[in-house]
Amino acid sequence: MKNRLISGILFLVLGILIAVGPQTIFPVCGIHRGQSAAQSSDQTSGGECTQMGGCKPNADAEKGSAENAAAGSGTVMKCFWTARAELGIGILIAVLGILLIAFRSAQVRLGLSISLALNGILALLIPNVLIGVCSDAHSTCRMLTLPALTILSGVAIAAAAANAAYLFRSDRKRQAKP
Amino acid sequence: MLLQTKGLVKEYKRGNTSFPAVNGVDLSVSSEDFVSIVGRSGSGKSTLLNLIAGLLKPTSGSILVEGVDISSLNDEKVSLYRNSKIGYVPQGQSVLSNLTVLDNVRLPFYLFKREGDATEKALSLLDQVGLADLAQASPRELSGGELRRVSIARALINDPALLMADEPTSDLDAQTTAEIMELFRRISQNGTAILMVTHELETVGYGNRVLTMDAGTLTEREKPKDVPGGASYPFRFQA
Amino acid sequence: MKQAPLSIRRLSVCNLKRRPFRTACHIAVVAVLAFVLFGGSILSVSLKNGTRSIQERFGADLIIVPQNYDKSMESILLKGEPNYFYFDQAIADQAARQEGVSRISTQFFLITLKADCCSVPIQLVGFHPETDFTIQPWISQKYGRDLEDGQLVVGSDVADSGRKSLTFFNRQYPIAARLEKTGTGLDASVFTNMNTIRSLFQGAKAAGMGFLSGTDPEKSISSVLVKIDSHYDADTVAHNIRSHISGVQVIKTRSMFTGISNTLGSLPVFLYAISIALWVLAAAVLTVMFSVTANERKKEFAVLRILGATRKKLAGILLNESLFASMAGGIIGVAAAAAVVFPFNVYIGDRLGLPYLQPQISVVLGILALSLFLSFLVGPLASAHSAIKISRAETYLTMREGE
Repeated sequence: MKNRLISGILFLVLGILIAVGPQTIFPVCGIHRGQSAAQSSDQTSGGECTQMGGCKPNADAEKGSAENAAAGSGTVMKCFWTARAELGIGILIAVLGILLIAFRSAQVRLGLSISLALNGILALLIPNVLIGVCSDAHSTCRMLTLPALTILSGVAIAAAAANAAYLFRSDRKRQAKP
Repeated sequence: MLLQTKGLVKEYKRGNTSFPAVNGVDLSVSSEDFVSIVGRSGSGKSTLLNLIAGLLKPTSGSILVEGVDISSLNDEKVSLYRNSKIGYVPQGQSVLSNLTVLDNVRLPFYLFKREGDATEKALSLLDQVGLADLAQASPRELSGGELRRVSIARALINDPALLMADEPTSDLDAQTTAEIMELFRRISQNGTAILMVTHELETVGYGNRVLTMDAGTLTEREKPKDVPGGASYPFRFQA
Repeated sequence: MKQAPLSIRRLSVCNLKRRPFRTACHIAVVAVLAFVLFGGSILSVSLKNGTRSIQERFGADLIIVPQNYDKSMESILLKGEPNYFYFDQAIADQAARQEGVSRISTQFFLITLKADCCSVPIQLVGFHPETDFTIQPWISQKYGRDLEDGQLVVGSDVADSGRKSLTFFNRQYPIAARLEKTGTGLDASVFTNMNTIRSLFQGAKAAGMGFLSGTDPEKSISSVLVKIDSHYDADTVAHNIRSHISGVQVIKTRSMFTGISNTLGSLPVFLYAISIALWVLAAAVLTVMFSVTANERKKEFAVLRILGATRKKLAGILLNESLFASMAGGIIGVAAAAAVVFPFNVYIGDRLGLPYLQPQISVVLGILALSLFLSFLVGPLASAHSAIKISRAETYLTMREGE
């Protein structure tokens, strides 16, 4: 009972963090609108430039992380799709965690643990290989989202593997008893 | 002679005065003996047992075990002596609850460096005391009598020359007492000397020698002719 | 039936398993200690490295910028926040003539709001390789030859390390070299010679950056870097410049570094003080815990004595238990700290707004070894008194307690 509860709750929490973290606690960059000539001047207008002085750059242009309401086509960053994918995988991990609590059979839970490990691997590969995040070292998704997802999915993989090994061993012991 | 004490004295301080818990005891035990030491509480019999086990240092006198004076040994040597020459069954409950029954029995074997493995020997001893099925059980699952038998099996793991028991049946019912005493009788018949301290007169008939301890003084008595449970005892304690 | 030998080590582990809550508390205390020790040390050393890096890298004594743009300049240098400002080239000539000025070099700043590499603005810095004494020395060190027209030298944080070129304003520029990490804002900058920056400027204007319409890179500059004569002090020369040239601000780089050091100065001390206090607290808590534990286990140890355990062995059991629990706690704490300070190091540096440069692997390993040693030590040290007391107890009396 203790194993079911502890492992189930752990994966529930990990799943929720993987799912909603990239939208909230460690957010990705978001959507950036493309740089057309008209838009550039929109973004940089407002600064008065003089010979002796300089020009104050526009604050929105500096940040570049909010969704721009200006008309025109937008370039959706890779990290946006990563966040979307992790939402799905995270929910799946959370649901598998709940199933770990619900099922008593050690063999069923062993199967669920293997599934969790594989999902963890997918959660790890999405931001690192399959989709990726922005390449700029100081973008939020690279500084914050990527390491957070890497650590969370690493923990999920390790915990799932450990749980599977534990269940396999205890099932074998139970079968060996007369 | 397996065990010999000469003029053994142990004094304790009580306030400003000192009193002898063991007062000039001469005792000889051979490997065929099953000795019962009887006496009321406070007579010094447990102190005598602990002196022989090397747990206490005597005030004066000597304790020779197989010719070696154990009272002059350092901690390392006296611990080895206690581990290998003596099997001690302490009073009360002494089985460690953090280990299984089997591990409790094996434990003394591993306290000093030894070749081989104690598992088979431990299982055999558990079988002899009737607890083979409970080898992997936790001590919390055992009754008082079963725990006492585990202590006895543990005491025998290193093939001691002398088995010492301090009031081994004091907290047991009559039937369990009889079972434990039968076990001791079998051990004695297998060639292990036994030195048992008790205040239960009905257990003294199992041995071949009876001594009484009174105010630190040891006196040899005649062994009662009858078996326990209906014996008439030729000795009584002083009022 | 095969069973593992019952060594003292196994006995200690069995004892720890028997009291899971107490063991977990011990591990948790040491884990927190190890986390603070390791994490705090890495943080502290990284900040010191960053400060030293900027002091070593930056060769100018004074920086002349347009009035009110001193903070913008500091942002470029320290935080890598892109900025641009301009004043007349003639100011450089005026500065060069001031008493105490040994040599000068000028820079031209531009920002690009988007490059194909990056989702955030990039700082472009045009400089004169023939007169420069701040960037050129380390470009020479890394690149070994002069920067050609159209070539870029990028800071360590600009784009992926595998990139061979960057596209700005629809034109591709090859990357000639990537500079080593400095932990400063320069890591996020791109450096070019003046011909290249002029080409970029034209590209920016063509791309519609209207704010640049009043600026001419042939006649405008963003900053003047000044090296002062060794016989003069920075305050005097700065005063000379301010009194002869109007509309400018003079940044004394030493003051800037002192400012950083002052902001920084108390932080490492604070971190070390916290670590020491935490270590002492952990030792005290564990000492009390072991004292209570040893008292509860008197009979257990008395039984072990009866079975033949030496006094040394008894003490060894308790010390082993405390060591194993401390080791587990130390490893967990250090691993948790490593999971925070290393993957998130860029984020930490950004949030602190100070130069932040992680130490080399050899230094990290040294800090790791020390943190683990101190964490492993706290348990056995805390249990030593109890271990000695246990080993000295009179077995006979202990067995008879409560009769």
